Amino acid sequence: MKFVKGIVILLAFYGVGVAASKWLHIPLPGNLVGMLLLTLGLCMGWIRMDWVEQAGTFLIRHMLLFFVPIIVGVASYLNVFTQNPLPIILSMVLGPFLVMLVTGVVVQWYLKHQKQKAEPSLQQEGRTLDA
Amino acid sequence: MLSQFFAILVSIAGYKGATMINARFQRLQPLLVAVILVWTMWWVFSGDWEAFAAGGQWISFWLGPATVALAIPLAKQIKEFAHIWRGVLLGVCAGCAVAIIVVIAIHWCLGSDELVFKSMLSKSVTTPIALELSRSIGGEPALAAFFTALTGMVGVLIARPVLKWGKITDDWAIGIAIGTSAHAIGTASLNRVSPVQTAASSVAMIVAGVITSIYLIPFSF
Repeated sequence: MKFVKGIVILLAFYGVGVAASKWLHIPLPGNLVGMLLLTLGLCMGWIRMDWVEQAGTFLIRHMLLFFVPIIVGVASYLNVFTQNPLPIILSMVLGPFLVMLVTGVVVQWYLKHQKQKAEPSLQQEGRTLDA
Repeated sequence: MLSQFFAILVSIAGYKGATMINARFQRLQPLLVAVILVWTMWWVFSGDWEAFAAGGQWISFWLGPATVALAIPLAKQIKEFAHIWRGVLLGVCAGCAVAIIVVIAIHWCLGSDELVFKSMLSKSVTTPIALELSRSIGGEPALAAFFTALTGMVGVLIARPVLKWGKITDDWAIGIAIGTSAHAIGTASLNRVSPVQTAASSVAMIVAGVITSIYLIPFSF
């Protein structure tokens, strides 16, 4: 029952997100608007975590399944590789590689830099949130 | 109607099979295995890709509520995020710039097809944003969806060695790096690893979508 309630809440936020993005011309897709709204709702205490936690965790755990039909559907585009293989393959491998490396190094550098500045007690407080 | 039902069944069976294979051979990427299994099964049983697409919509619809559900790990980590948001923004801005520069540089050096080039510009952001972006800059949305999916899968595939090589060990840095480079596919791959990484990756995915949209404004004229 808790599961069904959670699913209904998630669907409602998704619906509101899609409607808001469409009617208010927000330049973000509806699912991301819905995610931001639910984050707001959870942080402000309008929505209680235990209402959505079970259903949400289930959906997130099986998120890869929801990608399967989309990727199988676009697999027919594999033939673009025959037209200009080298630029595509290079972009597909070099792109994620460099983006991941640069982003990770920048964020890690910032965190280290901040850790040196911050008081040890404050840092500990931040760390315990992980658990 | 019956073929749609079979498409749903085949997708779930392929996914289930892939998770079972992944449990034994952890190096294999479950999404790639699932796609290969489903594609092969459908090709053997039916081969009617229009029916598959119609049935598949019943499954891919749940990507919407699942993305909304990413608010749960996000809300749990919001205090820590508020503490480090500047670093996150800095990292995502740098990463998105690199994503676009790589595509432009390769296009200039090797001269790829114009339509392919424009469809690749948005490839590292989450699929719904990538579709809209490629449409606004004159790319082909279906091709953009293909490149986006491929980028996500390559990103997940190379994640472990790249992060190790770059000595990126902090949970937030890992999550942001994966969310920026491999969008929702990367985020989905993290959920069994760490809730902090999942939250970080969800944040990065949203921020990267916004930043890339801003970066690509000059291309829409």
